[in-house]
Amino acid sequence: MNQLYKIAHLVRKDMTMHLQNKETAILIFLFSLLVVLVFSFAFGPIFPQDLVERGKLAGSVLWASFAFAGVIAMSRSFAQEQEHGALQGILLTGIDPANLYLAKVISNTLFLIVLEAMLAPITLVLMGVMDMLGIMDMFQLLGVIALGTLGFSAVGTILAGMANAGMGRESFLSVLLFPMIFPVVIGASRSTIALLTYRELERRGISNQGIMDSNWLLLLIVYSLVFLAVSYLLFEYVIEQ
Amino acid sequence: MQIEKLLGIVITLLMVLSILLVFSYAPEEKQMGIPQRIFYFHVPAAWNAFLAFAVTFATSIAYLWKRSEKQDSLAVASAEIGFVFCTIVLVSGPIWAKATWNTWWNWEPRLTTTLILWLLYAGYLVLRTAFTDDRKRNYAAVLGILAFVNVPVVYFSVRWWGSILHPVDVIKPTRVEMDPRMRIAFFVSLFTFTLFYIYLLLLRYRVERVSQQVEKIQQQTLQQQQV
Amino acid sequence: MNYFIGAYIFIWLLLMGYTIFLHQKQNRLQRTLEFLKALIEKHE
Repeated sequence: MNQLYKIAHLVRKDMTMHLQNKETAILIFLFSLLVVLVFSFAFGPIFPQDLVERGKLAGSVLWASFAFAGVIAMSRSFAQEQEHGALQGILLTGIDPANLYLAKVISNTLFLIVLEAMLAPITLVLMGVMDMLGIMDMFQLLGVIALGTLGFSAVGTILAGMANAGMGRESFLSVLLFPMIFPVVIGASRSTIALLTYRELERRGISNQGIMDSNWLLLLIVYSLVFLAVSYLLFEYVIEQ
Repeated sequence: MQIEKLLGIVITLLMVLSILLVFSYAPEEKQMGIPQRIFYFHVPAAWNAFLAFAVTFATSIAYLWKRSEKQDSLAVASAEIGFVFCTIVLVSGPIWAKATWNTWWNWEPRLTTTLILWLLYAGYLVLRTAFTDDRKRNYAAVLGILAFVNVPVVYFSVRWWGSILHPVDVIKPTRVEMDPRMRIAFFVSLFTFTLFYIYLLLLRYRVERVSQQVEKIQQQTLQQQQV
Repeated sequence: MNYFIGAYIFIWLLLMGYTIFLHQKQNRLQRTLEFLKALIEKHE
């Protein structure tokens, strides 16, 4: 109970810090928006006329930009503690290192979800696929984003704990992190594409269950659970001095 | 030392034997022709890479448990050798694919998984060089465990992902009944490669131990000078 | 056929090269170690 309270406290601390220190959030948001624009300029200005093809493109671009934004966010996630030597202080409160990991995963996930929820509509509008989503689909998309981001942070947080002490923080972290999160990128972008295209496919007489058509959501859930569990056990070795 | 020399001689002889078997004893595959003979080295190399990473995984766990430097040295030795064999798989795979499917790269799940493995352990080796203090052992052990846990997840996700692009039959190499002579050549080659892995592991492990000793002495003398 | 020869040569060159590299590193380090030990003994 006490530990739960401490986790909640740490999450609140992180969120307050994000609110106070808006520069990082704005910077990451702008960066990921620029990634979307780079893709748009590379593919555009005329996107595929075929709606299914366009949906595929939009889903892929969305998750590519999330991945880049995620790496930057992760690389910042222990920066505050590192710069001010606060990690020792947090550990002195008697929190289990594994629970510190959980707290960081929760705060990283929340932060990224807020960021991505703002970025997603802009991307979909720019790619011209916004009309392919109904209201209910948007909530489903939010669910996919939440699941994908959870898996991403589960691995990202523990690797960020390592990379923070190393040199060339950002590039080092991406070298470690990207190969680990390919399953998330695959699963999340496929689910997003399924969400974007299932109406159009149905209209053409290809019956499908949209996002439930394949195992991608299951993959995302399994991935998150596996890596949350493994990292939960391993995190104490990462911050051990 | 003696065992290692003996092992080296045995492996050399076995290598010659397996090359002879592959080229003169094993019959030529009718559909694929000569390029099929890459199979006798490609598959054992893939097996070695996987074995090496499994050893890294096991020794990483053992290191976090027992905190013995020997486990850590074994882990890094095995990871590096696995990386070398992974490179062999990644080069011989596309060449085989070009010869049989007329395309260099078709995102075949096993080959794709190997590519991701290669990247993962490249990261592992970079991590080893990025830190000079004792933290790198912990970090490397954690990464060795995470990376290996990732392997089945990557494999299945790439498989599902690929099955949308191609019908599964295309990416699955057709299972032909292997000629018994082919099988003998293959297993001799597999056995030789496995021995070769053990030999390299012993060698690389010793290099790691000696280099640790050298480092320790250098650090001690540095400290003495500062005092 | 040409591809096959290429792959074949690459595999063996890499394996041989790596083995030789390890042997040489081993020898070099062993020499350094002995040198350092001798140096320490001399000073003590």
